[in-house]
Amino acid sequence: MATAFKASVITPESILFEADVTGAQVPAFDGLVGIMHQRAPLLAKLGTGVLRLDGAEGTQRYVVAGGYAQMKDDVLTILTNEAIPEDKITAALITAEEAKLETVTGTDLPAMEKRAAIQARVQAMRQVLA
Amino acid sequence: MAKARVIIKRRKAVRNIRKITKVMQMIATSRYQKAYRRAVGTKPFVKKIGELVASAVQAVRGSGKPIDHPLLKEPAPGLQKQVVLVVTSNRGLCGGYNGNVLRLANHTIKELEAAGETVELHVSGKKGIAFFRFQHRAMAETHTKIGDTPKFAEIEQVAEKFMKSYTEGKISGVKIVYMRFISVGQQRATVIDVLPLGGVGGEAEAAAPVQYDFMPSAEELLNELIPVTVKITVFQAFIEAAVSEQIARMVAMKAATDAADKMGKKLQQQYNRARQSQITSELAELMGGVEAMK
Repeated sequence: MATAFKASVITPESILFEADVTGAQVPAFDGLVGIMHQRAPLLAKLGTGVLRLDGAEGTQRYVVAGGYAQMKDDVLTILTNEAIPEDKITAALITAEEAKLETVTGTDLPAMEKRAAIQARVQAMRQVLA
Repeated sequence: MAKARVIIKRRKAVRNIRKITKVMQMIATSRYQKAYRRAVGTKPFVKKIGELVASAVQAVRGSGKPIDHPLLKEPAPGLQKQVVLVVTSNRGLCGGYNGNVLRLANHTIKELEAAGETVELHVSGKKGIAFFRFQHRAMAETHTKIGDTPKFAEIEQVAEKFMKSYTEGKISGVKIVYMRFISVGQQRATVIDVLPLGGVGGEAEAAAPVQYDFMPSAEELLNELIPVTVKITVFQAFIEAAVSEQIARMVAMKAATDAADKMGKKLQQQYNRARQSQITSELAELMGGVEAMK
C-alpha cells in the first residue's frame, strides 16, 4: 500500500480539506504535477484545473483557479482563493459560468485574460463532470 | 403618584422592548459565532502565505538579487495623497462600535491633513457614510454591500484598486481604520498601514532554510505573492471588523435587556403601590360616605 502523507486545501475563508492522502495531482500553472510521499520540497504556482487527492476513503476532486502549492516535511498545502468541490459542480453551475463569458466583452488584454480564465474554469468543471 | 393604568401601559411598553432587545441579543450571538469562525478560518491561510513569502524572500536573497517590486517602492517625493478606508457597520444599535471607529478616523484624517497630506476618503458601512456626510466631507468611494460576511472576491477588488493607484503613482499610501478584534472581551479601534509595504519576509525562517523546487522561479513567485499579502491584510481588517461589530451589538443588547428588566421590576413596584393607594382611598371614601349617611 502506498504510504500516506498529510494534505490540506486552504482558502482565505476556511480549511476545505485536511486529511491523509496517498497521492495528489496538482494543476500547476504549466501542467499537472503528481505528488507522492517524501517528495522534495516544492513551491509552485497553480493554474486553473482539477486538483485530485487520493485518500484511503477514495478520491476527492476540486476545481481550483490559481493559488499556490507547498510541499514541505511531507505535508502538502494548497492555498487557493477558490476551490469548488466535485459534488458542488453541476451542469447548472457550468451554464452560469458560461453565461458570464458573454458579459465580458472587449478585445483589450484584461478582457481577453478574463475570458480565458472563465473558459479554463468551464473546461476544468466539464472534466470533473465527465 | 401616577395612575395605575398609566403605569400598566408603560410596563407593557418596557416588556415589549425587552423582548425585542433579547431577540436582537440572540441574533447577534449567533452571528458572532459565525463571524468568529470565519475570522479564525482565515488564520491558517494568512500564516501559510507569510511562510511562502518568507521562503521566497530567502531564496531570492540567497541568489544575491535585490527584491524589487512596485509595491515595495517608496512613493515619489512630493506625492502626498493618502487613502483612508474607514470600516463601519451598516446597522446601528451596537453601542460605541461606530462611534469609536469614527472618532479615530476623524483624528487620523486631521493628523494627516496637519502633516500636509491630501486625504482620499473611502468609507464602508452606512453608519460611516452618514457620519461623513453630516460632516460635509467628500467621499471618494463608498461600500455598503460588504455586510456581515465579507467575501474574499469582493475585498480582492477593493485591494486591487488600491494597488493599481499606488503603482500608477496616484496615491502615496493606504491606511485602514477599523475595529480590531483582540479577544472576545477586547476590541480596539486601530489604524493600520496597508501601503507602502514596510518590507516582506521579516519573519523569514532563521533555521536551516528549506531548499524548495520553485515553479516558476522564486522571484516570479515573490512578485505574485506580494499583492496577495496586501489583499489578505485588507480582508482580515474587514473580517475582524465584522466580528467586533457582532460582539459590540451583543454587549449593547445585553445591557439593554438588563436595563429593561430592572425598569420592569421598578414599574411593577410602582404599579402595586398605586393600586394599593387607590384601593385605600376608595375605601376611605366609602367609609366617609357611610359615616355621612348616619
